[in-house]
Order: sequence, then structure tokens, then C-alpha cells
Amino acid sequence: MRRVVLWFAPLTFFGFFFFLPLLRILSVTFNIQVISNARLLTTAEVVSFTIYQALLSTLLTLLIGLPTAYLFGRHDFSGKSVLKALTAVPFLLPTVVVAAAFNALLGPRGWINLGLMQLLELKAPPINFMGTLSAILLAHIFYNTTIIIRIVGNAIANLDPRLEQAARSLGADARQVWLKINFPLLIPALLTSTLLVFLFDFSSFGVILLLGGSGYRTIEVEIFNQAIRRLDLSMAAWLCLIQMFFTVVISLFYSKSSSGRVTQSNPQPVRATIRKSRTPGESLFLVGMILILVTIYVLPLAALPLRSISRLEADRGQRSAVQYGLTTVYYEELVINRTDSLFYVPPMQAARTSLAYAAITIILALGMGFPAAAALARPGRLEGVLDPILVLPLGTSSVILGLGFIITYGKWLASPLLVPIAHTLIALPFVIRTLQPAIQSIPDRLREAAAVMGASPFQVWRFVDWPILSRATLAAGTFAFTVSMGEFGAALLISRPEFPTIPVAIYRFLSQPGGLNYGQAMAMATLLLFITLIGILLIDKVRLQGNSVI
Amino acid sequence: MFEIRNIRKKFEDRLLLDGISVKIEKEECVCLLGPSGSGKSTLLRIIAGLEGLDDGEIFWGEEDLNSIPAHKRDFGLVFQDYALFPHLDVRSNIAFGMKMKKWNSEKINQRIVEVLDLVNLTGFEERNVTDLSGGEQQRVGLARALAPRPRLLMFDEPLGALDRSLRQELLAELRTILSKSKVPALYVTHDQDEAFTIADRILILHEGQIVKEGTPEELIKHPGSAWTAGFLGVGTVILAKTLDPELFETNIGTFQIKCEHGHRRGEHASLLIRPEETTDTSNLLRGKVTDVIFQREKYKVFLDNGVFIYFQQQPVLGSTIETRVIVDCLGGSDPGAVAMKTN
Repeated sequence: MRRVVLWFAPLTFFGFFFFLPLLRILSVTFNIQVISNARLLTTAEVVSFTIYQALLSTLLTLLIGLPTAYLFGRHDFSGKSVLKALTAVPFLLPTVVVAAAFNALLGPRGWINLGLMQLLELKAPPINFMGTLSAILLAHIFYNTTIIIRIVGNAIANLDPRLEQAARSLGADARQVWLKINFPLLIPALLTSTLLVFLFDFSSFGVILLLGGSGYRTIEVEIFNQAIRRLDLSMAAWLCLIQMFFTVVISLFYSKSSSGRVTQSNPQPVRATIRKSRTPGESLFLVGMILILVTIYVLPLAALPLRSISRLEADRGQRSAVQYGLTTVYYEELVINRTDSLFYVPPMQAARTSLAYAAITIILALGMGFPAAAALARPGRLEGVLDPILVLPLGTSSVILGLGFIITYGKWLASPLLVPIAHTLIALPFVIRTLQPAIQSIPDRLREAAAVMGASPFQVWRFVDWPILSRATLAAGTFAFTVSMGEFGAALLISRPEFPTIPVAIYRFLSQPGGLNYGQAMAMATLLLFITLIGILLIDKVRLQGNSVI
Repeated sequence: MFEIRNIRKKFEDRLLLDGISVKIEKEECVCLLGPSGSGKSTLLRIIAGLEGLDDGEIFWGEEDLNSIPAHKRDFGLVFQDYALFPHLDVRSNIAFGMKMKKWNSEKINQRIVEVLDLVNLTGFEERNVTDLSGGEQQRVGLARALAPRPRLLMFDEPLGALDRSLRQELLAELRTILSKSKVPALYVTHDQDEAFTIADRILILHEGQIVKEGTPEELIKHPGSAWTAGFLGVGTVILAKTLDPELFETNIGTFQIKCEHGHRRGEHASLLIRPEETTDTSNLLRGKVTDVIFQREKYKVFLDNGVFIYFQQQPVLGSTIETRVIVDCLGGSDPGAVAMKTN
């Protein structure tokens, strides 16, 4: 197959919907007549806060993550694999779900506040969590600790035990072994994981917007503000540039650190260093860490679904009659059409919109992904250049993408295709990385053998290619679906107000007063949580084993 | 000075080491020879203090070392895959043990030069260990272990990762280094050639126990058991019935042997048929040649009755030959001995 033919569709797609918008942003920025003092001030404020919160978040994440990495890298205990999977779940959840979960646990109507109010007979929620810096920091820890756990934890588990033994035989006690041998060898992993966490915290959008409220503005949030609320596109574009600059710099540091010195690691069975805890001190550490982890991870995730089925306060218009108990009323409300607000949209319509967008995303992503994956399966020099390009959207914030769309395709904002196109850009790297190993795994010889035995090209495809590809296609399609359903940033910017997606609808519900709205937000978020979880499970089960995506 | 008594170690319900006792009383090289998986490395780690023992004692002089942690035992360890610290250069690797002992830097530098000279790596101080060849890395490993002047040097199959010619070269050098350094050494390997080249004394480890101990010469002359004889490849072991204190009947012939074990008539015994050609016995062996393997200075000839003999001339495959053989008595009937087949 001619390479050019394969790359035509994906590259055209990219050209129009990624590069063009980015270029337009650049050109709009240069149209700013005056970089006014006010603008510079805002820029400085926003940049410094972004760096500040990212640094703080990263430090706190390291605080929790490093002991946990040590725990997983050196100790064995029952339930270890469950706990490890648990810490990875947040990473794949949509930001609205995470925000809703923390809201359900620590918000003014959340479990802890309502519980304390009941217990101590208070009139107002004692814990002020939503809209604080702590909320942002906690959510960042929740999201990103798994990066530290996996990268550093693996590095610890892979330390060659013979180095430690050699050091001990030469007279080094435990402290010196860690200081002089283990720690220096772990520096690459520490650097890589810290930079990655910092990058994610720096570009965080949904968490800041939903949990920080209007008081906290990072660069991304300010782009959104300027574009949508102030309608100052040129300022928004200017901030885009700043954000891209920082992202590129941090990414450069990251790839430098991850391609660094490969330390000689003899592949000893990991069993050699992992062991059950031996001393009471170790057991205490073990139990303590497990408790902390369970608190951080299980509580919010459990709080959400529970809150969606609990009626804990009075209904609208019935302030005096507080009813307690389990209820499905919030789910029922989702289908009812109450036209109270001008911008109100029945939740079920949001669901329909999301599903329609997701369906289009699947088609587009698979349509672009297959040819690209086929070309990458037999890579030549062209692929070496094009492969990194395909990953670019992942490193570009969805807010910037959305802004680019607004600037470039403002005339067509009404089209229902824009949101799915944005989703496709984000989902494409995952889709390609899922399809490529599958395509690569079909050796030509199988096809040749089938042809020699009399199969026509179609039959070859049907009996050789398709059985192997069907599973990968299912996984890739599910990936596209899950990404689309949970995407928040781009959808918030470019979806039409009358046609919000589920995440956008949840955001709106959370911004409105009243127990019923709150409950419905919880209910929708719980549904999205389960859809995401099922998607994750399906992808893992169906995907070709032994290949990690990204 | 160094002694271990009755070391016992279990590994997953199996008794890996079943009462190992070794004594080293002067600057000698004692070799622990045994097949792979026999627990030799585990024993070294136990002695070094890197692994616990289930039973037994470790002594240096009068001092019981069991409660002493690894980093205070002052035993050097040379690993099979070098275990050099990849983030340190040659100098820092070698200096490590001396730094732990808090020697002053002048002494350290002096010793580094000394020890690099000893292993024939003069001038390698600034090199990156990851750039070195296998042989060079192993020498650095040796230098590192020797530098802090340990009271015992332990080797865990140090030449296993090297190719044959490198192995032989390094083995010869090791002999010289050990005798120059005057430090007692415990050398663990599964390779007999290594053991026989470097050891003053060899202990053979089989199924968790020391089955034979002696100088290389003693082991060849008197292997002591069918298993040892087979392991060392000193000949073919066969089962025999005593007719006479010096006459034994087997199913490949009757042999006359000078034996001091005092077997009674009808008792079973194990005999060792040595493969070397000889003219000074009256024992005759006859058999059909089934395989001939060229081994440079000789031919290893297999007969249909299971015996192998070394010949200087290549015999014809399938021909029947008759030759004189040296036969020794190994003692009582041994589970390792087999009755030879006849055609």
C-alpha cells in the first residue's frame, strides 16, 4: 500500500483541525495592538499562580507518592494488586467526575459536612472545602500519585539486589546503602516522574475550574475566562502562547530526563527484593500507608455513588420537612423536563448529545486511526517524523484546541461536528497505539500462507486479519468512546449552549443552588463514573496483551 | 581461624544445606564444588551475613559471627556478574570499602594504585565501569573486594559470565593474585577445571552435604563414592559382587583389584573403571565401540557396555576392542553405581 495514500486522511485531518487552528491563534496574538500594562499584570498574576500551585501540588504528591512507591517496590502484602489498581483509577476519570466525587465527600452538601452538622448540631457547614486551594491540591494528589507510584515504584523494585549486597559486604550499613547506592540509581526515575506530575499539574483545567471556583485562575482557566466570559479572544490567544511555551519547555526537560543514562540493571526476578514486612516498625509503616491510601482513594470514589442515592436534606419548597434515606429521585429527575432556567437543558438530552458526539468520534477516530496505524505498523523514515506529530494533541490543552476552533471555525460553531472533531484529535493517539500492535502482530507469512492455500484477498482479510483486528478495533473504539464521553475542556468551550455534553451539564448543575440540582449532578456524575469504569475494564480485557498504551 | 559448623538452611520446604562444616586455618584457597542449584551461593551469602541461617554457627577465631550484621564482618565478596556500582567510576568503586572503613584519603589512593596493579589494570582509575569489557569488570570487582584488606575473600562463581579463553586467562591470574595477597579464600563454583586449577583444597557439595574433601590429587586418586567419581568424571562406576577379597565379578567381566576394604564373599561393591590406557594390570575389558569423541590430545571412546575409555588412536566405529583397564574399588555398594548392560 502506498504510504502516501495511508497518511492522506489523517494528515489532512490534522492539518485542518490542529495545525491551522494553532496557526490562527498565533496570528491573532500578533494582532494585539498594545500589550497593555493591565494585560501584563494579569499575565504575571496568572502565570505565577499556575507555577505556585503546580509546585505545591507536585511536592505534596511526592510526599504521599514516595513512601507509597517504596511500599509497593519493596513490600508484599495481601490486597497489593487491588490497591495498586485503585490508585490508578483516578488518572483515567473525567475531571467532572473527580470534582463531583470530592464535592460529594467534602462539599457543603457533602457527607462530611452534613455528618458534622448533624452530629454537632450546627447550622452551617463547618468545613469549607470547595473553592479553596486545598481542594485543588487534594484533587491533584488524587490524580497524579499513581505516576510516582508506578515510575518510582518500578524503579525501586528493579534495583539490582546484588549492588546492595556488594555494598554491604564492603561495610555499608542500611543508611549508607540507600544514600550512596540506591538513591543515586533512582534519580532518573525520580526526575522523570516529578516532571511529568508537574506538567500535568501545570496544565490542569477541570480541577481548577470546578474545585477552585472563581478565586483561582491558572493560565488555562484564564484562557477560558477571557475567551468565553470576556470575549477577549486576542488576550486568550496570547495566554495560549504562554501556556504552550511552558508546556514545551517542561516537556523538553521531561524527555531529556527520560532518555537519560540507562543504568545496568540485571533482570533479577522481582521476587528477590519484594518481601513481607519483617519488623514491627515495617508493619506499622505498611498499615499506616495503606490506611492513608484507602482514605484518599476509596472515600471520594465511594462518596459519589452513595450521595447520588441519598436524600439528606429538604426538597425544594419544603424546607421544614427534612427526609433522610435512600432514594432514586435524583435519577428520576434526570428524565423529567423542568423548564426553570433559560439555559436549562433536560439531562437526558445532554446524554443524547454526548452519545451522538461519542459515536461520531468513534467513526472519525477509527477512520483516521486505521490508516495511520497501518502505516506505523511498518515504519519507514516518514513514520519516524509523523509519529511524534500524532501525539501532539495530547500535550496541547483542550482549552487551547477549543479556542483554536473558535477562532478558525467560528462561522461553523453551530455545526455538531466540531466537538467530535476535537475529541477525535485527543482520542487519536490512544486509538493508534491500540491498533498498531494488533496490525503489527499479523505476520505477512500468515497472509501468504492463506493466499497460497487458495484464499482471495477478501477472504484473507476476513479469516486472517479481521479476527485479530476485531478485538483491537473494539478496544480502540471503546477508547474513543470513553475519551469522548468524559472530555470537558474543549466541550465547555465549543459546544453550543443548547447542546451540552454530560460533563458540561454536570458542571452547570453543580453551579446552581438547590438540593435537587446537586443531587442530579451527583447522579449524572455517578453514571459517568460507571461508564468510564466499564470502558476501562473493557479496554483492558480486550486489548492485545503485553503492550502498554502510551 | 575461620570455621562454620553444621550450617542448615531450608528453602521452600526443602533442606538446601544439611549440616555444612568447613574450616580454614591458614592462607589457603578452599573451593566448594557442586552442581548448579546445590546451594553454594546461598552458603556464601549466609557466611557474608546477607542471608539468615536456620541452624549452625559461624566463627572467626573465638568470635561467633551470627549476631554480627553483614557490614561489620569484613568478608570480601566477588560476584559472578560483577555487581559494580554503575554510577561510580573505577576509582570510586574500589575506594568504597575503604571509605566505609574510614581510611584517610592518602592511604586509599595508595591502595587503589596498588590493587589496580595487582589485577593488571594500571591506569584505569577514571574509567566508567559500564564501558569496560567483561574481563575488565571482573578484575575491578576483584580489586574492589581486595582493597580494604578483608580477612576472608569469597568468590561466587566469578568466571561464569566470561567466555572460555578469558576464563582460563583470568583463572591463572587469580592464582597468582591470591598467593600474592596472602588472604584466605573461599571459592565457589560448579566448574571442575576451575576448582582443580585454583584450589588448595576442594569440598564437594552434593544434596546439601559435603560428600568428599581433599586436595585435587586426593580427589582424583580416591573419589570415595560413585556419585563423586561420576561428578568428577574420573571414570565409569559399576556394581560388582565380591567373589574373593580381591576378586570381583561384574556383568562385563571379572576383575582382580587390590582392595583394603575387606569385603566378604557375596557382598556388593562399587568399582571404578579408569579411562586411561594402561599396560600394567591384568584386567581386560572388551566391548563394541558405539561412539568416538575427539578431545584434542585423546579420543573419548564409548563402548556398548556403558564404559568409556581414552585412546590415543582413533578406533573404528562398530569394531570390537579389547583393552586393559585400571580398576579401583570404591567401597561398599553405592546407590550411584549401576549394573552395566551386556549385549
